[in-house]
Amino acid sequence: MAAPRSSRSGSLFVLLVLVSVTVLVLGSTGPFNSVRGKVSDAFAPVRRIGGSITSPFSDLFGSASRYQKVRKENTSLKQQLAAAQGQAAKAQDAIRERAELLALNGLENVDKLASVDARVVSQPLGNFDTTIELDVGTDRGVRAGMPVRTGAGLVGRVTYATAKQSRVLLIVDEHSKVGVRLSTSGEVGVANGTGSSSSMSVDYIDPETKVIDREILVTSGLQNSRFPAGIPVGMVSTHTVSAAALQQLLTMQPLADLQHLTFVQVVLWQQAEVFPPTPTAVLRPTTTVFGDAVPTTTVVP
Amino acid sequence: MNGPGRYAEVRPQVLSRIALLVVTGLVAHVAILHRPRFLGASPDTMLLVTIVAALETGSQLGAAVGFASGMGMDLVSTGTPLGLRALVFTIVGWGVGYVRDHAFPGAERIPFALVALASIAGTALYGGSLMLARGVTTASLDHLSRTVGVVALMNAVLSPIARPAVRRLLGVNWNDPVDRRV
Repeated sequence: MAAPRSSRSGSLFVLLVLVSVTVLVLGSTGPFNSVRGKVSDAFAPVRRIGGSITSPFSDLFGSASRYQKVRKENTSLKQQLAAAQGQAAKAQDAIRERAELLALNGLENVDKLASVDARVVSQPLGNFDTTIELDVGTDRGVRAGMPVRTGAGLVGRVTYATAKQSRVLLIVDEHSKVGVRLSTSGEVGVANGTGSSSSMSVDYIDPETKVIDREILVTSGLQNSRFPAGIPVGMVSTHTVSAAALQQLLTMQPLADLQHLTFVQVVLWQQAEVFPPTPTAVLRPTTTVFGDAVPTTTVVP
Repeated sequence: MNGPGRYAEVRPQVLSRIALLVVTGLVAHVAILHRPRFLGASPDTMLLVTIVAALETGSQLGAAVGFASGMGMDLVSTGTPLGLRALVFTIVGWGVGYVRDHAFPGAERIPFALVALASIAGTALYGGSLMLARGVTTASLDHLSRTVGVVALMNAVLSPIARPAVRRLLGVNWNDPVDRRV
């Protein structure tokens, strides 16, 4: 006798749930990742073709929904532009002096680093995804770990690259941590992604530090940092200090418009090997400072 | 009953139709439908495919299409846990199909509200699970609530277009009472 339809339906449901849970548990293992990479690569041409078809209308929905906001922003930006033009003239001399000082001390200047221009061929596919795809890959010198930026600020870092394309994890991903420096006080902290494209939290800012509204944060470039120093990251949006707090509650808004990326730059820079092994030292990557593993040194007698 | 005929409704030709539906949905989503963004969120095409298929066919195929849609989307996207969408969409597909089987048996017209409600449930379940795994913050809660609203609205708006497409791809013929269950 055939099982009732509802019973069969329930059995299939349970079976599919069990398979899903199994994949969920084993999903981060090698074979599953390999299959995922291949499927994702197979859809790359679809993304590229779709991108080229829709690029003339890419921001139609966004622009319509942001019309009022854009109008207000336009007025505000005109005022800011006038002020900024005056300040820029004053800043020219300081920029030249800084570049000379960096060169004299053999330090890297982020503005002088080689970079590759890239087109964003795919925005995040889902509402909770935080990766984008670029149309450049290892053919153009792009490697995993390289920073990606726009003219406005830091976008993320390359996590995977094939010959012709690369994948970028945005700075707002929950697992993303960026060492940052407040531009006025020089205080360093760590910006953490929250999953939202418009907000990041910043940790380790001393309660005594004076933070200015809309202050710019740049990459700190401390030892073993994943990003070179001096790339603008975000702008302070809120900052509060509660009584007896060990740090300020600080949030910032990324400077790059991560929801409407079209063109970006991949900075051809890779994390430097700090603390090269010496005959008298053994390195153990055990300490985590600002989200990056920093080797601890044990001197061997 | 056990053995090959255990899931008689999910026959080989139905499996091939589910595969066709899912691949078509994925191509549409990856090429175009993930791009329009409203308040920072875009329509969830594969969730819509799941809901509409469940409304058209019932709980059994709703769960099967949900699993295939979720797994397909899990495989093409990166940075999210593999299998989570498959799990959530299976639950949504089965749940919507169950409601359809019991509340609207044989009904050709299903209210928009059901698509919107199912979209809210699916997005909240998926986003909520991710949030619990990654840590709850004010910004992530704000993002989740906005996304849930936008996906519900967009999926409901797109459902009149999606229904005939899903019906055609699954081969549902509403003129044939026997075929209403695929």
